[in-house]
Amino acid sequence: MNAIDETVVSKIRAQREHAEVLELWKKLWAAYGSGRAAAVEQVLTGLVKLPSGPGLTTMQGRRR
Amino acid sequence: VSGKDASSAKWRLQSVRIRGFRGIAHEQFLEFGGKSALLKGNNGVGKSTVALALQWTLFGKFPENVLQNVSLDRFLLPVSAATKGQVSSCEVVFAQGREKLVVARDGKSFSVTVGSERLSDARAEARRDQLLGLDMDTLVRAVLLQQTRVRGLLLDELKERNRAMDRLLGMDAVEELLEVLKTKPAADAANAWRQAVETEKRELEAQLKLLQGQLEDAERRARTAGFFNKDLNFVGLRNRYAQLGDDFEKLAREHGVTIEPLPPCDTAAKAEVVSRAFAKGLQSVRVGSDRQKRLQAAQNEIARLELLQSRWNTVMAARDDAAQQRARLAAEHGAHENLLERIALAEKRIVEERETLRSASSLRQLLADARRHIEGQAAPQCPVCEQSARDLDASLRKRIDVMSTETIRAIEAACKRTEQEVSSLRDIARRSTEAEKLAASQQESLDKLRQEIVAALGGAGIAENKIRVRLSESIDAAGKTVRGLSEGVAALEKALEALADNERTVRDGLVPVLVGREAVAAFELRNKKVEAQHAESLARGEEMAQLAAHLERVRAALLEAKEELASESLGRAGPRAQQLYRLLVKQPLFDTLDIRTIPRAKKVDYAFEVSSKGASSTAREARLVLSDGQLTATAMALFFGLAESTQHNLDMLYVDDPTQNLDLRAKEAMAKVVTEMSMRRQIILATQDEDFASFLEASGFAGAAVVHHFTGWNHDPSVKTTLPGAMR
Repeated sequence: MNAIDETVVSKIRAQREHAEVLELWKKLWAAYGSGRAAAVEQVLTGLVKLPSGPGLTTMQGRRR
Repeated sequence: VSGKDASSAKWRLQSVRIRGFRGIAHEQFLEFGGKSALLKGNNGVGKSTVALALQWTLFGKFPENVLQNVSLDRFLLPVSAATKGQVSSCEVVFAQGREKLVVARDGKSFSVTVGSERLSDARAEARRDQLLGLDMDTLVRAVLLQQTRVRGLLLDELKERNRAMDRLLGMDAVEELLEVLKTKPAADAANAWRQAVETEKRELEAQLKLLQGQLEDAERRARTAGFFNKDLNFVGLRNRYAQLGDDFEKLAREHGVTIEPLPPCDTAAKAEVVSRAFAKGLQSVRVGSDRQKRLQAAQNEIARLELLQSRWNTVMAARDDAAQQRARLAAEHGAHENLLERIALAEKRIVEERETLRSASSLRQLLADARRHIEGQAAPQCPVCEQSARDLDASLRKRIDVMSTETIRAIEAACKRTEQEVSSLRDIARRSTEAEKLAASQQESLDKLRQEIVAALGGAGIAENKIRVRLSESIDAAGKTVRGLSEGVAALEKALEALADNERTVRDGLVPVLVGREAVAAFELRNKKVEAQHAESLARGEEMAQLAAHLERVRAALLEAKEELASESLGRAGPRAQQLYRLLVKQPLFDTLDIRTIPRAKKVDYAFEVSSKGASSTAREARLVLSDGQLTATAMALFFGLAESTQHNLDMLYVDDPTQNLDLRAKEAMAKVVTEMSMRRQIILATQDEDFASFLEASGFAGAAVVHHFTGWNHDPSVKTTLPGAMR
């Protein structure tokens, strides 16, 4: 399992401007380690925010 | 088998102690002493419990596909005698030279003991990982070999074969991640933010357009009503209402009414309050003006006089009717006093006629008595008048007849007529009396009403025949007063209406313009805030788009990593798998096994092919040319190759039932292969296959290994252990 993390990290590092991508991966990998796919989905749910209500004037953003 | 080669630097299994776990209700101790071992016995005697106990003791859990729809606690408890409160516990001992590693777990705690160092829970887990150098997935993939894990390679479905290969290579975690790391929700969210902003912008523009249109209409109406541009402001509004208030107060004063001054109006919001105050003032002037009060009084006077006039006419008519009725009776029957006199005379006459009737009756009786006397006498003559008796009798009879038939009847008829006359006269007299009374009563009412009218009109007294004229004159006079006052009230109403028109012009012409301007200004102010919110929303959308892009890059890195790691694993395991394929399968035509990755755009597939001497022109997909047994043996070859090439610190392989689907020749080959493997590491074999066990004995495996023979099961397995010579 560590090999997966290490390899993915090296692949991301090989990409340009990878700091945020790497941070995202670490968050997702940590979630996977603690609770597998369900935990990852939970993290994604927390990250993805949708506008709420018909108008934006009172908009706070809601989670999926 | 001695374990004294280069791999002796790693941990080997020394013993396993199992309590209250799955197939073992009480306690079972199995010794291995670092040697290879054979666990043999029929199905259902507890062999697999040992492998499960190893997994649970080391990691406290199982791969996800083991526990489906059942809790871990229920799975652990003994299958035969699960009782409440029972706790499963296991202890596994590894050794590395003289050093011992004791791993123990029960329902509540986990401990690792190395030499004199004893750690528990999280620190124990960290020490375990450090010493063994593997995690649970690696244990299941590269130490505890179960044939069920290669079954997927035999399936037709490419997706299932890929999944089985992922599991063998430890790439199932990558697949699981790729499955959940979808970019679409983030991309959809980005679009949703952008669209929400666009939609609201359009709505706000439409609202602004509507407000501006309403303002233009209001301005147009204001100009039509006579307002100039200079008036269309709050100063103009204040001045117009101030002027209106002055005019109104002046008018009210003129008509004797005091009104509250209009409140100052310098905002559109106050206009409504001022307008209501104005309407209230109008009403109070209408109701409370002097003229209005006098007019009301005059109208009341007319109504009162007209009512008196109406009553006078009614009572007069009734009195006249009664007088006429009395006069008509008098004309027909004479005066009431005459009638009484006539009744007295008639009654007197009745008395006389009754006396005459009584005398006539007495006379007739006398004549009848005389005749009876004559008839009783024999004398032919009357002694008095000397008439013959016979003539006298005839004369008497004639006189009696006349008396009976004419005289008395005539008297009776006269008496009856007189009585009828008296009755008639009395009836007329009664009616006359009633007419007299009615006339008197009506006259009395008329007199009372006259007094009332006199009091109403004023003055000492008015003759009856003057009343009607005087009433008409008074009504006419009051009418003239009303007409005069009405003209004044109408003039006031006209003045009030002019003021009301003036106020309406301000309210409907000027106020809407100011309200519209305020609305547009407020909307534009709010729009500025909304624009800031829109910028935030667009930034949030951009954030979501970036998240989608980042996820895509993570997916790409995962795919690259998978391809690289899988290729590396297959590259390491390939030669050994190739060698084992030849030993186990011995396919005459296809002697070469080729397993490699095939990178695709969004996934990584696997080639699982066989060929003749590696010639690509002869390469065929393994599942199309090999039997199920050969395919199973091929999968086991790959399995062993991968297990042997995986790096960790356990110098052991636990192989559970490796001969399913294999024929005798393959079983014999498998026995030789595992015997050969046991020369380099600790191999623990579990099997129910007697043929395989015989081949293992023949190959020398069983003779050098610990043999735990599971002979039966009754809540606990019955185990007969045979130790190799070195351990006895």
